[in-house]
Amino acid sequence: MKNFIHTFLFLICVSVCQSAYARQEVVVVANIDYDVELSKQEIRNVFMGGTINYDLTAIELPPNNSLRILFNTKVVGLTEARIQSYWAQMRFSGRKKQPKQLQNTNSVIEYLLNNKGAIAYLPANSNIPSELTVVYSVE
Amino acid sequence: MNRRVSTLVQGLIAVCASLALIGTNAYANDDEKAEFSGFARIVAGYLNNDTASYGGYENSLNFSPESLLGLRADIPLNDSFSFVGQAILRSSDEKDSEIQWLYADYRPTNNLSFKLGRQRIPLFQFSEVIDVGFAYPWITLPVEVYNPFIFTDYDGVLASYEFSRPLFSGNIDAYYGIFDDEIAFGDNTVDAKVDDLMGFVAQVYVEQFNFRASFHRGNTNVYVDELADFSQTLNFLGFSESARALEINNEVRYFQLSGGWENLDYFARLEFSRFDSAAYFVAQTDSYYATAGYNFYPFTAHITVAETRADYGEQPNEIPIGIDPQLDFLAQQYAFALQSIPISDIQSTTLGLRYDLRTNLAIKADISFIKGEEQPDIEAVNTRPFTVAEDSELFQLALEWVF
Repeated sequence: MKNFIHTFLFLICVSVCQSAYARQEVVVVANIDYDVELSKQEIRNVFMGGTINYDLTAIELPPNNSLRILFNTKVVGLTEARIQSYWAQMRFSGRKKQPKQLQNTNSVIEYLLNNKGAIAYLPANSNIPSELTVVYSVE
Repeated sequence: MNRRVSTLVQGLIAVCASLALIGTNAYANDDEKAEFSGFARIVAGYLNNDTASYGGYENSLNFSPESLLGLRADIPLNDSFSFVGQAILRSSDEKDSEIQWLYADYRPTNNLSFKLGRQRIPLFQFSEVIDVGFAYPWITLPVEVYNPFIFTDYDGVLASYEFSRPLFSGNIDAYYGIFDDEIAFGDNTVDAKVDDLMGFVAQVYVEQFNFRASFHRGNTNVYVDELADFSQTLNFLGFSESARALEINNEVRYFQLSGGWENLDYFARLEFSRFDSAAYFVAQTDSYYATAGYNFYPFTAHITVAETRADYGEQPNEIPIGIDPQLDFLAQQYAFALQSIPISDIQSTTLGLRYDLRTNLAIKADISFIKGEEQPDIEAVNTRPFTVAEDSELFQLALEWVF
């Protein structure tokens, strides 16, 4: 019986965590002086090392970071393993460079504020400084 | 190889001197530090057929055909210029360790780049990273397609232009250069040259889809002593068509088309290539592979069907038989020389599993069921020769690492 209660509580916890995770939303913000709304394709392109028609430099979080996983799932549409093999292909063919990685969202915000043209994903519910412009929201 | 390296080094010295003359700032900032990286793979393979070989594997456990170590250095000079070198140390006796990439990279704008120096030819989707096993799901890229005739690397220039629109993005590449080195021909190495080597590549990405089309061509000149001597004799006796049939001194062309789709759970890829040459000794080949896979993190399972069909066309036969014993002997020798043409109709089905142990380390296991046709022992004029006398199964295990 005790085991059953533990299992039951564990399942409730898991489902609460899962719905909290599902509710978390991602926004992509940039340090720019103009208003622009980018498409999913453009966001995907800029975070996969490509160039778009705006001078933006992507910043990302490390693998296994939950926000990175959410961003990869919702926007890039690839697993972390596939993204890593993509970067191996790009690096060793000299095609594209992986974005600079910062350890957490606080470091990302600080970097964004200090670097014109920097672009990164952040949790939608974080305090986004007014100097930064939201260029894409995950629906 | 020394000949190529020395030409290349001379070229790069010239590039360095030019950069110095135009006043390049050699003091890079924090984001422009030299980067050193690499990749390594240990691949074990066993072919359960004692009369055949496939991709260098035979019926004994063999680690050497594909195990290697690659080291890369990216040295930026400023925002626009950098130097890149990448060397491969191989365990294979048949393939040399080599400098695969050694070039100056110039990016005048965000979407335009030039590479000048030694580079891999961007023939197929994965040609540039054929040795970086971590970059693709298979242990060995489908041999039926990824087995190019000479076209592996070149010394020259590549221009690449990237474009982006709200609904799609892509790039267009063009390159021009030469290839001048020794290549494997059966058990020997022979001098091979490709002049006016050039190609165009277009790639488009639309959501989870990607498409690639490319065209490559060059004027090849492969010099095999014995064949050249015999060809001269035939020419001297007036059998010029037959003499030409023994030369590998023609234009060759590659056409490539591929498409892929992938999402979090599944992926599919189809790649087709046509190789075309006026040389009788080099078959026109049509090759393709089709792959479908399933991701269940940290595993990836995939199945691939691949096939190559070779067609050597009609060979001239102008030497009369039954008139003179010497002519009969000549005709016999000619027929023997033509019989040394490698036949490479091959079909294979590969089942594979990849386990991504860490973000930079993966283990793979593949099994390939290969159907080949009877053919002579002499191997193809290919960079990755394979022969299959009959049906075989190839078992492979690999450890892939990038650092």
